[in-house]
Amino acid sequence: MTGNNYFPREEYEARWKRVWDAMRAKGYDHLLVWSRGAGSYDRLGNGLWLTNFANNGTGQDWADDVQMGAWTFSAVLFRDGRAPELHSAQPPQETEYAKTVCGELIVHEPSLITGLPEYFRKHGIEGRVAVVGDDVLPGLYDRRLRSLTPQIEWVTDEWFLLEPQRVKSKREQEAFRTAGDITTHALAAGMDALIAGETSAEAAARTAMEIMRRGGCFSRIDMHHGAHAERFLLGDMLYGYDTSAPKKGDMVRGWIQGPIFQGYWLDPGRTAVCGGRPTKEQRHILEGATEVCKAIIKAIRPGVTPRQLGAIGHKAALRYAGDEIDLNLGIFGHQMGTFYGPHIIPAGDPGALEDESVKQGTSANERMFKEYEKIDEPYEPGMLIAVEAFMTHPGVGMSGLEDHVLVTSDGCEQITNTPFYL
Amino acid sequence: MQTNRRQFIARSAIGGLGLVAAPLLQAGAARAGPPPPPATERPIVASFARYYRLSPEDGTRWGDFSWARIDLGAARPIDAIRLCAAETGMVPGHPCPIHFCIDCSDDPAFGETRPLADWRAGHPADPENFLARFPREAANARYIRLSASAETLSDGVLSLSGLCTMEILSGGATMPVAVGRWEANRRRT
Repeated sequence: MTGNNYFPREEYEARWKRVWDAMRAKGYDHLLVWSRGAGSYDRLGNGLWLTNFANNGTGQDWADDVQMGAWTFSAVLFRDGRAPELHSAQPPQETEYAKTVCGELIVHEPSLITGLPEYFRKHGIEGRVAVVGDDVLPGLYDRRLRSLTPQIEWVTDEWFLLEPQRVKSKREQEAFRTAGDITTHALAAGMDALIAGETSAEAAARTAMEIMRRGGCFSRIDMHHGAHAERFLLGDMLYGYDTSAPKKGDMVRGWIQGPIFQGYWLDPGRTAVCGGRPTKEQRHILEGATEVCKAIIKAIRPGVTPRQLGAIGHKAALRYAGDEIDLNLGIFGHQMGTFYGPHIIPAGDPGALEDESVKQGTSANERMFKEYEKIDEPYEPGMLIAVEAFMTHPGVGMSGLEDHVLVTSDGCEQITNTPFYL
Repeated sequence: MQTNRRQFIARSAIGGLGLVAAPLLQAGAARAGPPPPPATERPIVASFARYYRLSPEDGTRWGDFSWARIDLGAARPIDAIRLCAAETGMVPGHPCPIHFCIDCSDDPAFGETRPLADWRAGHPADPENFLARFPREAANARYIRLSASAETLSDGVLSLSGLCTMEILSGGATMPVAVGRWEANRRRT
């Protein structure tokens, strides 16, 4: 059955090798990676990337505080340089285990949470065990697991897999191209609906249809307009859309987020004006955000650093500065993979990193220092970069867009190509 | 009713299906300890669990490891343990298990354990009628764990889950242990 998988086994074996290399570099003998599927996509991409396994179900099972079932969770265990073990509590008769690619598949009954400690004990696993997915496993289960594993020192390393996942393989790049093509059509369909004055819900439905008919998936589609779109980056907080329709002249915005194709995430976005005739002020911020992204994308190539790109974007943004115009300089992008890559393109040169670390704990607006730790690391061919920019003019609207590029040997290849609506 | 070790073991001999694990106490001796919990207290339950290896290709299962944990509620003397199977061949003695252990501990996580019985397939005696011999030191603990390894599974039958009843001789009294079952893993919503 694995012959029908999108990726051949050799692809997974190459990934495992990168993980082992990263473990050796950090001195880890054991690594445990938690994922949760069942519609939640909670770090699901990590387990999928390692073993092609995804827990199914609704994701809304009630917590099991007696039996500790946790059956929508799975864990991938690396130990002793072996091919990784997939540990799951899902019953074989309800699960497509035939698609998994791993060293060993171990099914726990009734509980993964109480079963793993027995497994660790029987196999002499003790001492430091690095863990990815502490932000996935609920406290209920985590507390029990830790109480049953006194011989283990759990070492949280949430970003451990980013390095092995950083450079995409040829096949992964193909998957991202497909994802980019899907979102290009889908976002265009949604934006066309908003520009035509259809409701946010209708625009979201058209977007979803284009994604789903192409075999893709999303976690959220945000379609909104007018004052709401000026104040809030994303749409209705519950669903991302509602049944209201924009008026002619309203700024409208669409955004797609999710594991678009084969579990690989993209999050492209666009802003336009209902009726397609922006005012001078609207056009100014539409062009501003667009030019920032264009300038950054034009500069992306092997060897360039996020810090350099941030400076380029900032310089482009300043050309659109003016009274009351907020350049909204948060970040100008980030890496992408099985989820949002946290390593960012800063909005401008943030200065010395030591200064950043000193700022920690001093302000409510403090930066997340770890986001900056790779800003001087040159890009390499095969990396997937998201580029984004926003500008706000009170009373006029908020302009924002986001695109994705693959770093190539001599530049970059833009994989999301929804039109600009200037 | 007070029961000594000899009587406890004799009953298992009559039953014929049991595995008895007992320390080498003087016949008739009963060590002092907290009295068994009265019937009004929550019954002692053995919770069973297992894991097994599954071939993604053809669904073959092997390498079963099953275990049961028992919380006696307080540290108590453990003079003997009797396991009775629901069917012949579902406790050690069936050709399937290759390793069977009973450990005790005062740590619910079994970080520190003391072995009470340890039988491997290579041993000459068949544990179905084998009197596992404890060390001469008295065993006194709150938690007991039984575990069994098997090479193969037959239709998902679990060696330990075939237990019908379990009894522990403690301080001259027999404590019955309810055998907890889990509902098979399945989709809840």
